Amino acid sequence: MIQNWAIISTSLLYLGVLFAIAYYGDKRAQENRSIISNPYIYSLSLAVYCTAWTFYGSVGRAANTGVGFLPIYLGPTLMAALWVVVLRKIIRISKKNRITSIADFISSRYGKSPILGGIVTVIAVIGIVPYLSLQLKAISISFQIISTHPGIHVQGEPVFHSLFDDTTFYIALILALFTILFGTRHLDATERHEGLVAAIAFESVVKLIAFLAVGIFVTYGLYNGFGDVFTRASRIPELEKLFTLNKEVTGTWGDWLWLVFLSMMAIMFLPRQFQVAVIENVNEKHVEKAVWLFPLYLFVINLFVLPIAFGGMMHFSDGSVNPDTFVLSLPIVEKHNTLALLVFIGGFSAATSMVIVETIALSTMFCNDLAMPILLNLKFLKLDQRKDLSSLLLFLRRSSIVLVLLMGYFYFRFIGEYFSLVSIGLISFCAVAQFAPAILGGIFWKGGSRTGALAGLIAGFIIWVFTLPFPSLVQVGILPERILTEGLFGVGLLKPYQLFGLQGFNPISHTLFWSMLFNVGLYVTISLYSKRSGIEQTQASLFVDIFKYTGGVEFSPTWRGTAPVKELHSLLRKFLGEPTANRLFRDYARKRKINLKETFEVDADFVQFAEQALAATVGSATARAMISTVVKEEPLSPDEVKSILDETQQVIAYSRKLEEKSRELERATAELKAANQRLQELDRLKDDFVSTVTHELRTPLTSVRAFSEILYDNTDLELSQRQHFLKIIIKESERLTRLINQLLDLQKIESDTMDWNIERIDIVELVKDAVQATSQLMNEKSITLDMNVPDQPLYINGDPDRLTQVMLNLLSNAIKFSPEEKGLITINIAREGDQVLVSVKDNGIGIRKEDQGLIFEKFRQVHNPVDGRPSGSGLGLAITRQIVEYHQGKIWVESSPGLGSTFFFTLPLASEMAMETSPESSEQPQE
Amino acid sequence: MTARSLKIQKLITLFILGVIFYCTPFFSLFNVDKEFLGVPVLYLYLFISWGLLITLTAFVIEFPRMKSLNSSK
Repeated sequence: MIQNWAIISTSLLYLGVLFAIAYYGDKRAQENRSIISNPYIYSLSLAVYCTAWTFYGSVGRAANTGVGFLPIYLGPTLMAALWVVVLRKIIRISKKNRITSIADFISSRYGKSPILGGIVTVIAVIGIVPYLSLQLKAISISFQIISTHPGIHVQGEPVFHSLFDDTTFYIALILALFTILFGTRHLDATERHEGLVAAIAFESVVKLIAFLAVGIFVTYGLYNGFGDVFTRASRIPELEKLFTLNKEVTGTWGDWLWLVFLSMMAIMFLPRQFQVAVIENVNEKHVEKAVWLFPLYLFVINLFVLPIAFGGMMHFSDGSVNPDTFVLSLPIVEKHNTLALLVFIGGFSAATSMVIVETIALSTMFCNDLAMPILLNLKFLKLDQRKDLSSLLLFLRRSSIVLVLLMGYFYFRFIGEYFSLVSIGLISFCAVAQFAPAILGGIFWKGGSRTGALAGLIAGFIIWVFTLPFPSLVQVGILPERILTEGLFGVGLLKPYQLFGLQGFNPISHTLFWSMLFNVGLYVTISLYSKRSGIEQTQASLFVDIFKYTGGVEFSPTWRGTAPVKELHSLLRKFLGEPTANRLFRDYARKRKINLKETFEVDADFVQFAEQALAATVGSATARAMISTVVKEEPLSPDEVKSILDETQQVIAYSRKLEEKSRELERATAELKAANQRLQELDRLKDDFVSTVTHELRTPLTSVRAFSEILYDNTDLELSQRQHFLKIIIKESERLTRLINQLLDLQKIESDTMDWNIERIDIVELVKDAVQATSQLMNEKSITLDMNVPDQPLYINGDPDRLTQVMLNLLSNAIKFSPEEKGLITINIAREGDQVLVSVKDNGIGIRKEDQGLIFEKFRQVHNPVDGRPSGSGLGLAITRQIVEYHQGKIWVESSPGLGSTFFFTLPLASEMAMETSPESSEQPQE
Repeated sequence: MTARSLKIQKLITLFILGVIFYCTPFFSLFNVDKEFLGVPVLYLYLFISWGLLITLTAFVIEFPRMKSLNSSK
C-alpha cells in the first residue's frame, strides 16, 4: 500500500515538472529558439491520441474482445499514410486563413458562416465533454486503487467524497490553471502554444515508458514471455475464445471494419488532434516524418496490451477486478510499489495531456464560435459601443476553459460512473466523425455548399444523439425501458438500437452507418441543388485550390472598396487591444509609405489583412461580421474573384517565366562570351598560322626563284653547276608540293571532308611496307633497323593509305634525327588486349620534356639543337595525330634529350580479333 | 515536384496495402484458431503486418531516392 501523501506529492511533483517544461518551452519560443520545431516533438504531441482510454481501457477492451481494441490504432496508421495529401492541405489552408479551430475551419470553408461554426461547436462540446470526463474518472479511479489496499475497491468504481475532499476536483482545477497559463498567453488563437506542446510531448514519453514498464513486468516478470502467456491462456476455454475474431465473443468482422473507419476519422477530426496536428504545427514538413513515427508510437504502446489483458484475467480469475484497471492492479497485488507509482503517473500523464489539449481546443471554439457571436448580437449588452473588448475576450477565453473542465468534472460525478472507459470514447469518436463529410468534401470538392454541410451535420448529429447518448439515459434510469424495446412514442421504426428496423449491428456500427448515410447523403444532394453565395464560392476555391493560389495571393479578395481609417482602427482596437491595433496600422503605413493622419480610407488589401488579424482572435465568422459593419463594400461576384485569383496566378506564372528567361539569357551570354574568347583565340592562331604558312611557303619559293634567275641570267653556266641548281629547284618544288599537300590534308581532316577508305587491314603488313618504302633513306644514312613484329597478322579496320602516311611520317622523322653511321631505329608491334601498340624508337637528338606535348600541334617545330633551324613543315605530326585519333587510337612520345625518342600509337583491333571492340570503327560511314 | 508526387503515389499504395491487410477477406485467412510458437496466429498476423506497414512507410519517406528496380542508374 502506498501512502496518500506519497501519491499526492508525486502527482504534484509531476505537475510541477509539466509547468517547468511548459514555462521553458514558452521562454525558448520568445527567444525564437523553439524546442518544439522538429518532427519528433510533433509526432510525440500527436500521441495525445493515446489517452487514459489507451492506457487503461485498451487492456479492458482486449480482455473483453481480444483484438477488438486494435482497430482504434490501425485506423490512424492507415490514415497517416494519407496525411501527406490530406493533413498537409488542411494545415496549409489553416495557416493561410488563420484558422483557430475545427469549427472555425468548417465555418470559414462554407462562407464564414457563423451558424455552421456554432453547430460544430455544439456537436464538439456535447460529443467531447463525456470523453473529457472519462479522463478525470480514470485519474480518480487510479488514485483510489493505488491508495487503498489491494482487494478493497479494486472493482474500479469511483467512490465519491464531498466535492472539496475530492482529489480529482483539485486536479481538474490545477489543469485549468495550467491551460489558462500556457494556453491563453496571447489573444491570437492561431499563435502556437509552444510550452504547452512541449509538455504534451513530454507526457507522451512518460506514458509510453510507464506502459512498456508494466508490459515487460507482466510478460517477462509474471510470465515467461509472450508464448507463455498465450499458451497458458489457451488452456482456459473462455480465454481461448478471444484468440480469433468471432461473432459470439469478440464481435464480427463488420464491426471491426466500422471501427477502423471510425478511428481514421477520429485521428483527423477530434478537436485535440486538430489542435496539435494543425494549429500547433510549426512546419508543414514535419508531417512527413510523423507519417511513420506516429504509427510507430501506436505500435509500441500496444505491443503489451494483449499479454497484460490475459495475464490479468488469469491472475484475477475470479473476476473480482475490473479489466480496465489491470494495468495498475497487477503491480499492486505483486507489491511492486515503485512500478505501481510509475504506472499511476503514466496513466495520469495520458489523462492530463488529453484534458489539457481538448480543453484548449474546445474553449477556443466555445469562445469564438459560440459565446462571442451570441454576445455581440445581444444588443442590450451594448458591446459594440465598448472601446476595448480585448480584456473581455481574454476573460471569456479563460472562463470557457474553466467551464469546459467543470462540465467534464460534473459529468463524471453525476453521469460518468455508468460507463466503461471505452464506450464513452467510442461515442465521442462517432460524434466527431460527423465533421468528416463537411471537411473532406470541403477541401476536395468545390461544389460543397453551406446548406449542404449544415443539413448533413445536423442530420448526423441528431442520429448520433438518438442512437448513442439517448439510450444510455435509459440505462441510467432517466428514461423508461420501453423506448428501447418498443421505440420512441411506441413507433417500432424508432428503436434507438434498431433504427428503421436495422438489426444485427452493435450500437457503434449501427450509429455510424445511419449517421454517415444521412450526413453524406444530405451534404452531397443538397449541395448539388443549392445556390451558393459569392463568398461561399470564393472560399470554396480558396480551400480546394490552396496549393494553386498559395504564394501569390496574400488575402482572399471577396470584395472591393475601402474602409475609413478611423472606424477600422477603433474596431481593431476593440478586439486586439490598443498596442496591437497601433502596430498593425503603423506597419501598414510604412509599407505603403503614407501618412495615416492625412489618410481617411484604407484599401481592400489592408482591410482584408485586418480581417485576418481579427479572425485569428475571434474566428473567421465573427471577424467577417465585424468588418462588414465598418466597410463600404461592394462585393465581388465569384467570377470577378476568380479572375483576380487567376490574374495573380498568371502574373506569378509570367514572372516565373521571366525569371527562367533571364536565367537562360544569362546562360546564353556566358556561352557567347566563352565562344567569343575562343574565336579571338582562333583568330590569333589563324594569324600565326597564316604567317607561318607564308613563311614556310616563301622559303622554298625564294630559293626556286633565286636559282631560276641565276639559270636565266647565266646561260653559259657549266653543266654540272646547272644540274646542281636544277636539282635544288626540283627539291624545293617537291618540298612546296609536300607542304601544300599536307596543308590540304590537314584542312580536310579538320573540316571532316576527308574521304576515308576504311577496310580490314593487317597492321603488321602495313608497317613492313612502310619500312620497305623508307629503306633507301635509311641506307643512305647507314641506319641500323631492328624490327620486333609478331608472325601472325593483326587485323584492324582503317584507311591503309592514311595509316601508311602515319608510319612514313614517324619513320622519316626518326631517320631525320638519327645520327649517321651510328643510327639505330627499333620498331615494335605488340598486341595489348583489344588494342595494337606500335612504337618507333630512334637514338637521335631527343625531345625536351616541355616540347613533348607541343610537337603534335600545328607548326610546332622542334628546333634542331645543333643548328637551331627547323626541319620539316611542322605539319607532319599534327596530321599523324589526327589520323590516329580518327581511328580511335592514341599517340604519344617518350623521350629524353640526347638519348633519342620513342613514338607510340595504339589502334583498336578489328572486332573478330578482339572479341568485342568498339563498333564505331567498322561502322564508320565512308563519307 | 515529380519526386513529391511519386512519394505520394507510393504512400497511397501503402494505404491500399493496409486496407487489404485489415479491411478485406485477406484478413480472414489468419482468423484461425491456431497458435505459432504459443502465440495466436491472428495476433501474430496483426502485429507483423502492422510493423511491416510502418517499416515500408518509413522507407518511402526516408529514402525517396530508392528508385524502382529496373532503373539502377
